[in-house]
Amino acid sequence: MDKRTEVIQVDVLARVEGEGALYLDIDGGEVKEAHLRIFEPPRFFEAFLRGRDFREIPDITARICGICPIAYQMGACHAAEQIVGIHPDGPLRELRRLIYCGEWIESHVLHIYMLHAPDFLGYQSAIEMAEIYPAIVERGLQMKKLGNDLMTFVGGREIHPINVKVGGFYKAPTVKAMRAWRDRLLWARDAAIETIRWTASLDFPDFTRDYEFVSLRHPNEYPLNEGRLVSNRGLDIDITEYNDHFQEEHVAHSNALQSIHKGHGPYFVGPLARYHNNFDLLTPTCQQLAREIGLGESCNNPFQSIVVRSIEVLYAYEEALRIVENYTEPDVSALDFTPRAGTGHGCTEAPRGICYHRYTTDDNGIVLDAQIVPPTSQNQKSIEDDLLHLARRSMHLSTEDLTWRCEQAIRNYDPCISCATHFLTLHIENKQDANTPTLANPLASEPTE
Amino acid sequence: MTTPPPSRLLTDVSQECSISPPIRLFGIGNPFRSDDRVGRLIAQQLSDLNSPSIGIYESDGDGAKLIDQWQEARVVFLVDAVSSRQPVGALHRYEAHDLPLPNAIFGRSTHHWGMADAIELARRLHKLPPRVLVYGIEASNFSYGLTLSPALQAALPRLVSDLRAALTIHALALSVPFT
Repeated sequence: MDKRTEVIQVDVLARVEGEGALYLDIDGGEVKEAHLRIFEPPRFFEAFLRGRDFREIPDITARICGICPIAYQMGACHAAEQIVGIHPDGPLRELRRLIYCGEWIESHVLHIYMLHAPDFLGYQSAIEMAEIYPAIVERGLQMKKLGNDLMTFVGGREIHPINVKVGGFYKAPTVKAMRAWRDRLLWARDAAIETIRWTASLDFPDFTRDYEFVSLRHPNEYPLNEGRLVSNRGLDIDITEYNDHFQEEHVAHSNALQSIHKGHGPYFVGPLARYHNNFDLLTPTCQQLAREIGLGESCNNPFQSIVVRSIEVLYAYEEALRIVENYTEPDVSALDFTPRAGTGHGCTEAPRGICYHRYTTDDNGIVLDAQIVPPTSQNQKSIEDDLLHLARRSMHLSTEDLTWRCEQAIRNYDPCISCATHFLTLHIENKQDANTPTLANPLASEPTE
Repeated sequence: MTTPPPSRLLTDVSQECSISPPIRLFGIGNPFRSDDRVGRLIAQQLSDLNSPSIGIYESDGDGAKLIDQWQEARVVFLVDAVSSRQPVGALHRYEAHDLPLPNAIFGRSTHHWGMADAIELARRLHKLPPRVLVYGIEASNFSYGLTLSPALQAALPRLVSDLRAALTIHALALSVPFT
């Protein structure tokens, strides 16, 4: 057995949304365990929602994340609407899909161009990358801006939008304003096609695993707001059954709860899962490009998530284009309702995967109980398992390359630690073998517990 | 003779396309983080500057937006709170068009594209305005809150006055034709 021992630590893992730590225990050349350590204090959103009016939930939960506030607003609205028995449809439903497209675009493009691409091109940051590839970085900035602008257009502002409410929106845009988006979206669609071809040309490590891919599945559309919860291993449930099948666990090394599929174990949510479970619902252009670049209908290599995200960006632009071209103004910007006692569930596809909400209210609509399960919590165990498998097969790499590879493996998930609670730092410890000297590493230190 | 439009105080990014004055000041900060709001407060107090050459804006500091918002500008002022163990209210001035900002003072986030990132990215994309003047204002309290710490509050009139003078000088310089 390889007796190589060493201690590796990266104090701040760059290019992820939020901050935390990763601890890899390697003893005498054998990788024992990998922990994603989230040590940011819990933020208690679920607790302080109790006692609030249920109409406040979308605005409060939007504050969980500045990158994916729509995921929280949509899940909250759907759950609240289930309680009061309304179902916004027609233009209101289209507006919700449009603002969600905006969120996917700004979040995915940020990750593709600014956070993830430098990994494959050997740069520490997009700033370094811009020196050699200015036109590509500039294209990314423009594509992301369009997503932000869409969120502002529908939501009133891009971060923590203020126009979303239970029942619909405070104000719906006019048809004229909506149609004005067409030319920008046409440019963006072409830019997204270029993005797919560009990301597909990157070199990817040969790393695949047999994941359980969990996502929403809707009969008629690539999932954003609605659908049943399905997996490639036979799961097919209504979202109201979420807690019958999934369980949150507290582990000592993380302040974020970790989720498992009861009786099955870790599972994978996000672009790869959506893509696997819903390939047939992508637009013809997306499907054709996926085939053209040789990706096929499924992808089990998390390093290639950058390509799948690129395909989802194209989908989001095409879906936005469809909506702005066909939009009609709703008769009312929001449906009326009367508060009542009940329990409601919401589950939508945040950029990083399913985001589940459950709320119970009393007769006056006061929140009695709340549960929010963000995607990064659900992916934590898959991230740890990826690290474990990757490290085991990468012991031939130098300390520097192993560290870099592990950081990449985390970034594959575009983890949003702010959502899971807040924080991410990479820490790999190879325990010293008594017979082998420790490799020098200026970053070495003991993990904090 | 038409009256020049008043300087604009923008908080809504959707209006960013209307940005065109050659001199632009961005007051950066989180309005809910006590001293961090000082950049925004200075922008608000300068919003009475009545010159078509000067635009005054508030900003959340998002780098991608800043790059867009300072396009075609001749002189950009970026005003933000900093923390470097100097007396509260002290003014740090950097000519960022010449040199990168010191990381130790202008913190870089792992997940947010801030002002310092925007300057460096724009430099590489050749999108940095000819003059980028960064005014860092020494602050102490970045916790949740809507009020400035007393020392910073006391320094505010002087800071506003300094920035007003600097903006006016640059506006005058722009109005003098080159010979």
